[in-house]
Amino acid sequence: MSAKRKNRMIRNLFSSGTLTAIAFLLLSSTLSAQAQESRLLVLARDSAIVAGGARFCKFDPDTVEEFIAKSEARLSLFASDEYEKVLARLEFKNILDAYSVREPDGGCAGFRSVFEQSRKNIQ
Amino acid sequence: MVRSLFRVSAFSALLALLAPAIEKPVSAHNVYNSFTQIDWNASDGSIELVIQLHGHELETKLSLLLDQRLSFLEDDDFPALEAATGTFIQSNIAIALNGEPVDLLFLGIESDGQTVVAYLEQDWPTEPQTIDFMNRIFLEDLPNQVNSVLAAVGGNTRGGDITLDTGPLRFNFLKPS
Repeated sequence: MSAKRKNRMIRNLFSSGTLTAIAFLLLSSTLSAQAQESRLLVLARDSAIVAGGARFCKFDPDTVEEFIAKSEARLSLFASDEYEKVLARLEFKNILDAYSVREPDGGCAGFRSVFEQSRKNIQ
Repeated sequence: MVRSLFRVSAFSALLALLAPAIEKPVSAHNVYNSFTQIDWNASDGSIELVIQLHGHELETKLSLLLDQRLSFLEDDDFPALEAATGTFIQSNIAIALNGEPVDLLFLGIESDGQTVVAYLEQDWPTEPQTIDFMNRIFLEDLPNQVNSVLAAVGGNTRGGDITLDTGPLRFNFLKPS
């Protein structure tokens, strides 16, 4: 496999401005230039951070999965087209994975109220 | 149908059996997803694919295909896994630009153990008007597998999901006359 060509491709992905959450996983993330898409990605990220923290803290699994399902459904609802829907789902998935293995700021005890409030907001 | 169900249940059972061997904590996921980003790169005239897969499912599948236990968490296994990933992906995806099938060059993978990202590309000097894409990875192996796709050409974006029921996706980038 050509490492040089792979590296060139990764650089091209950055320079072409079409960087997506796939590359974010390994390097860094940028938001789309379109304002609506950015708000959707922010919503995806915020929801995923909460869901990831709940997973890390081992809150009730069924409750956490319900929150995840509702969060993803909300993202699909707010997306204006299929591209946004997939992009938001990808952002959500990657952030969820990242935050599932790190303790929330302030610890799990303090995080429970954050999770409960987020659950109420999504009902 | 019965054969498919058996294949799904056998693969899922193997996934569950192999899970304890993973030492690094792995976040559980109930929805099986892959993500493919397709970009036409105008600056160097190429079509580029970045495919993101779950490391656990991929290594299980490749271990089955190679008849040896391999793990993305083991550095020594990486060369064999990378080579096998290339072969596996290339035999399970298909892309056509303007109706013309394109043989993609597999560049390699990167992995953090939990997620694997694969890179493929091919020269394509002119802006494609249509992209047909099929990704059948895990569609018959895992229940509810969804292979999501994002495509971008000339600043225009398209997206969609491929499941066992959908067949290939076609993205239209035709400019109105």
